[in-house]
Amino acid sequence: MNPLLSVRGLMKSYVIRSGAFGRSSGQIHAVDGVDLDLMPNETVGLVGESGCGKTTLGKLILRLEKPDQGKIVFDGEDITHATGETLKRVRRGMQVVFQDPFGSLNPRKRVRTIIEEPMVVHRTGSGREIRERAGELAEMVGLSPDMMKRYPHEFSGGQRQRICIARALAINPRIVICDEPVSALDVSIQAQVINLLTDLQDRLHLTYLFISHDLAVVGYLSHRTAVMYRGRIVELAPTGAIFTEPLHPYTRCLMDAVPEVSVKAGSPGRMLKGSVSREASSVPGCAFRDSCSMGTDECLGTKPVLREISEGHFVACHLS
Amino acid sequence: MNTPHHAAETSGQAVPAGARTILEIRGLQTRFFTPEGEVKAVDGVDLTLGERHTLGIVGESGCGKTVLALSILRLVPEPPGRIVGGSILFQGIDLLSLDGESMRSIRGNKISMIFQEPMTSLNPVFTIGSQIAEVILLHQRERAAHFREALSVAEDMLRMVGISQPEKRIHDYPHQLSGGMCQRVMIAMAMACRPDLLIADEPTTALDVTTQAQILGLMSGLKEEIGTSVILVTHDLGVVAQVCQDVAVMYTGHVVEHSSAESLFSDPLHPYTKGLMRSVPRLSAGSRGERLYAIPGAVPTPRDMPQGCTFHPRCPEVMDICRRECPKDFDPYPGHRVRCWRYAGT
Repeated sequence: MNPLLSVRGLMKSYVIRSGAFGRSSGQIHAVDGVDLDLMPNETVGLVGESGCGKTTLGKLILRLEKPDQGKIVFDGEDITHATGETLKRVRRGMQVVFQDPFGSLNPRKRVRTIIEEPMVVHRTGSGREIRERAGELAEMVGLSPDMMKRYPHEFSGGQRQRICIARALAINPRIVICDEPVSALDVSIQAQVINLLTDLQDRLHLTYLFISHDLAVVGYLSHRTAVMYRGRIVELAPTGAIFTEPLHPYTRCLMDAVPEVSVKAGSPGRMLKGSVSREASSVPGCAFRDSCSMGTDECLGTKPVLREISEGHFVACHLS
Repeated sequence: MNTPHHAAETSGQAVPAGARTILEIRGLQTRFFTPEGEVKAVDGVDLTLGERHTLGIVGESGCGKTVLALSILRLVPEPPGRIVGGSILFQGIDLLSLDGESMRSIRGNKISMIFQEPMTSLNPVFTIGSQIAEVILLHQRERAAHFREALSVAEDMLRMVGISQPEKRIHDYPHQLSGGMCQRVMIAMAMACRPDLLIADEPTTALDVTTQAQILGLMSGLKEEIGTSVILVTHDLGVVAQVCQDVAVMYTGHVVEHSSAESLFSDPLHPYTKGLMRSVPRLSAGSRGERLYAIPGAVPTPRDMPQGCTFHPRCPEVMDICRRECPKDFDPYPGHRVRCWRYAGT
């Protein structure tokens, strides 16, 4: 089967400006050579801590940011440099749900207008068809018809996220990029939205790129999981394998740091030495070497590349 | 005064025998008077905290946990808020009866607080060293008479919270530090006066998991070293399980369950607590496709608070009485209190 979306050697760096005149004082490699495939009807989870480049990767795929280098292929078509009408057509196939349901809805528009807008922009049908479709979408995500004439501020976080999902699905996209869609929600509501996303995928055969900092949440949704660290994918495997046999030391740190919901005496997690630095790692070698407990000379000298260790399990570490 | 009268059921709870009580809250009521009407943010809360214990206050947004924390320090903005009833006994003194002057000498000195967003809780135009020094100069003149001496105490505090090269870092401004570092500075500031009680409101929510683990480890270490009692306000049951001895679960301004952490996690009683625990995603292999339990509905808004038990519209174990009458507190086991009709007669 051919991948629906394929990313090769994607790079994006930003210039850091400092001082009164904004002189450039360095570069941040936000995304530093990422290869990733999304199969049809698959969910790939993208996990990492703040500043690791996961959101930037999502924006690059959506072409909300221009990549410096690399290639993005969507459904067999190279869209890396698409512009104008081509880009508009490509975006019909890719939609996004953002993290903050409070900031991503226009407060001055009614829910109906918000859900109808993408269909109006992309001219998917007559006014009546659009109205009917909006009603269907609202029902699909669990909003009652009388909510359609209300404004976003009248809704709770979970309901707003449902509106965002309905809007994203309005023009029948094939890929939905979910950028931390549940991290602003309470646990009981978070569970509702996670279940909704799974149901919608089964019903509409959607493909998700699910970006999150929470490994546990990713486990409930993803077929495969990619762990990002400082702009690179350091481990990529079927989700089950990530949980049962994490290979990269950073993945293990992440797993250990998740607090368990049970009381066990004396089980302090393995702690990271130092902190996740956001500075450019222009020096050779592994970006994780300073925090890694098992570093060797090789880790200082050469950057590890992603290698396949067992079937479908890739890791970028000299030690495995 | 209209304090609720359920003192009889609530005596002798979570604090184990032998531990002295540092904080005792009885029938606390904090309300907000808004144009849309009165909001009972904290509605008759009873809590007890033993000396050197860590009490976790858990609940979802809007359940009143932050207002409860602010009420203890009497930091509820007034108007629109007001504490209308109850008592807060801290080391035997009722904080609600103190005048502004005496309250100020306790705040930041004997009781201090860490807020959720480290980046916005620090003053951006002062160096972190001078911000820590300010607390010491304000409250503990005997430890440092001059700014210079206070600054060296600040340096020691930064070293204690694990910041490298504190002699340089004291001259840094908040924007030069990462979120985790800022939270360490906040902890250093809160601990500078060696408080008897530390209230931490979602101290790790804005941080990454690995940083969270470091900060929680640091807080536990300092707590042992200084002998502080801690109230940890959080929405994360995992964090509570890791660091707290006692837990109070809040819903719509009430404490619905209060017990030791061990008892709560091994045998949750209130349907809301059970629901919360089941809806937490767990790290387990091959959970894809497995449905996550979700509590139906949403937290009611103050405008449409249900009659009877405020949880009944979402409760899977609802009974007739729940729709009619507010539940009382019951103690099915000694030290395990639950506010639910299911346990009437136990």
